[in-house]
Amino acid sequence: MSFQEKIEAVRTEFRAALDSFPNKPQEIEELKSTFLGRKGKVASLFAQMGSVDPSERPNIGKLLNQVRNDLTELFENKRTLGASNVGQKQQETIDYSLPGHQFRIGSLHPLQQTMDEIKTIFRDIGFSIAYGPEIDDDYHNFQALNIPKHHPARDMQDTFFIEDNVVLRTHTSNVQIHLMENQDPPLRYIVPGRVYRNEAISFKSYCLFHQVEGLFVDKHVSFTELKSTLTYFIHRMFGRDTKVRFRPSFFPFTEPSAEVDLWNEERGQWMEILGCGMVDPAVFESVGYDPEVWQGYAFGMGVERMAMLKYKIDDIRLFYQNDVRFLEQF
Amino acid sequence: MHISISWLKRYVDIHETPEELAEMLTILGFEAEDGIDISSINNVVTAHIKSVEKHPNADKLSICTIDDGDEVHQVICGAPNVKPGLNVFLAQIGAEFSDGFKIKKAKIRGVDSFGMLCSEKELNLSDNHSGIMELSSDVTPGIPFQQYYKNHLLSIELDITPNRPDALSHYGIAREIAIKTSRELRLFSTYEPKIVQDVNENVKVIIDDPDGCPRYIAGVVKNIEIGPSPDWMIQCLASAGQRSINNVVDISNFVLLEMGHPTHIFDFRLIPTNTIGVSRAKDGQIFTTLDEEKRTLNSEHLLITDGETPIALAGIMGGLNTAVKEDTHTVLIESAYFDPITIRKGSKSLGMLTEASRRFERGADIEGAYSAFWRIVELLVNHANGKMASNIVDNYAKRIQPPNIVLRHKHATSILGFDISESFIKDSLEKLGVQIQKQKTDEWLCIPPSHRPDLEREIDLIEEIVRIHGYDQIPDNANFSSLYPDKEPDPTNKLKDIFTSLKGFGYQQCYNNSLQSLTIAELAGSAPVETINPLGEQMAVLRTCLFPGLLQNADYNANNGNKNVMLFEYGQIHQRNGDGFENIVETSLVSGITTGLYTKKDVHFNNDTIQDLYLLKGTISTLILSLLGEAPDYQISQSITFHSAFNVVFQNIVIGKIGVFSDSYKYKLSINLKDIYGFELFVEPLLELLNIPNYYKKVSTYPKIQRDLNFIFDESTQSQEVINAIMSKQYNNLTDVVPSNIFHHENLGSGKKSIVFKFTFQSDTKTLEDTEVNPVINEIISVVKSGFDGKLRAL
Repeated sequence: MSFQEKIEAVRTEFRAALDSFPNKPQEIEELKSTFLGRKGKVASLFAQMGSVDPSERPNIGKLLNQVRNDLTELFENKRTLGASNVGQKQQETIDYSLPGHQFRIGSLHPLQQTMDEIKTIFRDIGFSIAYGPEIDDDYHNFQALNIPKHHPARDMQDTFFIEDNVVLRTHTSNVQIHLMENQDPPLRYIVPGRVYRNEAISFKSYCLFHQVEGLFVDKHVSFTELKSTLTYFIHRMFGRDTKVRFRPSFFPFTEPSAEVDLWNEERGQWMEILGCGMVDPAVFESVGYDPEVWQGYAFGMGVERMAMLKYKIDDIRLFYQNDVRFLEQF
Repeated sequence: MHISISWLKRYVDIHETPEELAEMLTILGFEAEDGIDISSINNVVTAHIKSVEKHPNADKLSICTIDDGDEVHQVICGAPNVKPGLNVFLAQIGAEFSDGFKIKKAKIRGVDSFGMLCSEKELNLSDNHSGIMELSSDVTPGIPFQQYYKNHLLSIELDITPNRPDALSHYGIAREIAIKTSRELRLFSTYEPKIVQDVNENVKVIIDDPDGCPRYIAGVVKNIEIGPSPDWMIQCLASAGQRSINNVVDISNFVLLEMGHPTHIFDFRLIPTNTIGVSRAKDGQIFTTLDEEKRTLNSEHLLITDGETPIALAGIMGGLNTAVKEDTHTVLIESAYFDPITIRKGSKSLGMLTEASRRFERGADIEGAYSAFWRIVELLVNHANGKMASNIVDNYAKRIQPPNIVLRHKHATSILGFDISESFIKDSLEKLGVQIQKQKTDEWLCIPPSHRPDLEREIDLIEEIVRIHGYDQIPDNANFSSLYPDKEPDPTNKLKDIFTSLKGFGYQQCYNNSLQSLTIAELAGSAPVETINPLGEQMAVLRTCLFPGLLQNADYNANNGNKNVMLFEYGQIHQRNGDGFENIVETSLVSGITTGLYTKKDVHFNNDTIQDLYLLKGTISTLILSLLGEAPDYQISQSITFHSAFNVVFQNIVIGKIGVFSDSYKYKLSINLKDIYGFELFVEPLLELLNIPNYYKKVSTYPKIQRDLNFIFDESTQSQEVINAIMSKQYNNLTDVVPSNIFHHENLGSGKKSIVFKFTFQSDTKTLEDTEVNPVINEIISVVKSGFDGKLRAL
């Protein structure tokens, strides 16, 4: 082995030693003295200079000095780096595969989220939001909506009574009447809220549910605009490709009336999702709007039904059971 | 309404498959429900009952000899209507029903039975389980059920909206199909009413209440032979889910389902007065209807009498006393029109919803009463050997005029938002039977037919036009007004911030039933609002508080392996402050509960942390701070639900409550969980505070001076009270006081504790000197000493 080769061997050895740079100060000092100390490997190379051919000594001396300087610089760099960046130095001793420190996080109820989504879409296209009482008189829940007493249409909604003329509202349409009684047209609202039906509880029906009712009254509001607005809503809620069907139906407070279905590919059938229509002139008359001047549309949708379609939930009771294993999925 | 496809074909050609027909009717506004599923029914065939013997060991059972076209079997049957000669459906050995029931060879009370005779219910055809299904006499044995069903029984279940009484009949539905497809609608009858030459009977009809009964048509038919109905009629009725009784009863039922007009047939022998009277019942009057029920009546009920004695409950059900029997030979036909509201009130108050009342309360066809009468006569003559014995007596006491409606093309276009051509409008209305006459350009005078009582106004006609035109033809890509003056933004929009924060703190949102038991609702200490017609005792009143629901949720989850929950709910509660609607108060709350562990120890943390009142208090303070810019105050208060309760107070307004649920409250709700903490925030005052604008406060650029003082107090001293006493002095530059350490040691003396308070001083205008702070510190020391007996202790 030539002397040059000896020098390069020390350089390689030292570089290898630097790769696994120690943590503890004592070990660092040991590493330094092993190579750069007074009795270290570099010093011992200097001590062997005597055995080198005299003609070569200046070159070897130069080379040795350079090696000492290089190695000292490398060492110091490594030491400062180690001190300033513990992380890098600890890379091999800390297990970053451990789970992070997570926060406990709650959840918003799927009905809340669905309701919020519906509200957002309608707010985006200029609807205001109004609320109204869950307990109302017969007049606001039925009569003013063109559902007289002793009319078979009353059978369409099984009603809880508080008093003879006071009911738990069967729809949020009662708020339509309150709004129109208190404001002059034009107006444009959606009304979210809880409604009640005297129906036995099963997987598909509950004694209460949530509804979002819509109302738009102005001079030129038309059935076409209603269909366009609701088609837009459904496309935003369920996706652009959703197939929508409007078909004739009957509600005492709208005429013409329609039921809106959307196509459920999985079940291969149409699913009813909302009812709508042009505000019946009789409703305008009961709030003192002139039906020759004002036209309007109204619609109503069940939030539970929307959420069930959206999240593919097949039992309405899950919404009211509040099992945290269910809630945490939303 | 069961609509039989083979029956419809009597009046209109149908080329569509049942699915296509269902789709067509649905888009016409008659929603077709999912069809009957018979796919699972196998090994059921038509069969003939050859003989019937009594079972030796059971009174109600019969031993039948059954021919299924292939073999003769012995079958035991318990149905009351089993008799020799009947054609029936036999479930052979190996048949299996949708509920999993299998037919096997069986020994019933010692006699072998090789199959079962089926009722309509067993075959999923209807809910009728009162006996075996009877098939017409021309049916050959051995036809598989599936095949027979397809050829003869196929029907569609339609959901008919209450505005369309005309569609509660096969002819009415056939009319709609004919309009939509432009096919011919065939007459259901070509019978020519004749003047009776040979009048034996005279009938009088006296209407005391023309408002309740505007029209009553009566007539007598003699020579009746009660017997089986013709096969085609049995088949029609069966396909519409009805069982044949005898020719006379069937004829009345057939006409009801054919043209939708209810009629009634009395045994004329039992009306010796030859008189029909229509009058109101007396209060408390008792009357026995056909179904052998005694009904107690009042003056809202309309009665048919023989002049004195009641013989029918008008428009609802006949009386037992004049019912047609096996030996009836002379009948009186009633074909009338009754006032919808009268019938509705009567049927509702008696809880009797019949096929007749359903049609009358929706509005029958007052002109149709006449054709229904003659249709009954025709069928009695042709199929019961009947002969007219009286002239038709038509007492049309109160004429109901069809409305004259002006229809404006322009108005229709404005409502619909697109134009439908004049020719289409005219054509559709004419097909619907509307008499239409042009008045001016763009305007028609329309008179709707008597079978469409729902067509009263212009808007009703506009709906008909667009319905026939097709809702699928309405454009759905029109521009809509997207910008609109926003008179009132969402008044509860800010609630969303509360929900989102609570979610961030770890709470899961719940939705609970608003209906609960009176016992639970009363626990809140306010008077609950009760419902008159509850679903049951457990759901009799409206909730007065959100805690019971949330606590039950915690209990439910604990029973399902999750003891550590943080739940919240936003909802409305109701209470009654007195009698009457105006004394019902609705309030909104956001309530929450916590229990169990808050965090579990893991690889990073060695200890669990538990839920406690401080964590809850901190949560509420953080929430309010983030919403309103300042933390709230807490004042000790009393509560029915908590054993340690605090009001959450913001700027002297109570905005909520927090506390630890008391054992007695949990016991009353049967909750077994140990430590549960709860909060409730009052939404209305909170929303008002949230609407107060938030103004910027200048940030002081001068340094803070902080001083610590350590006092020894009695154990009972409340740190917040000390802080409140100090802050109430409004010392200059004192910006904050917080307790920074509390400790107990015997050196302090028994019943004592030490609290270190950290005081922060800062000025907006200058750097404070010690000389400015020291006098305040001295005053604080004396305030704490005099007010709380707090002794200063060296730090």
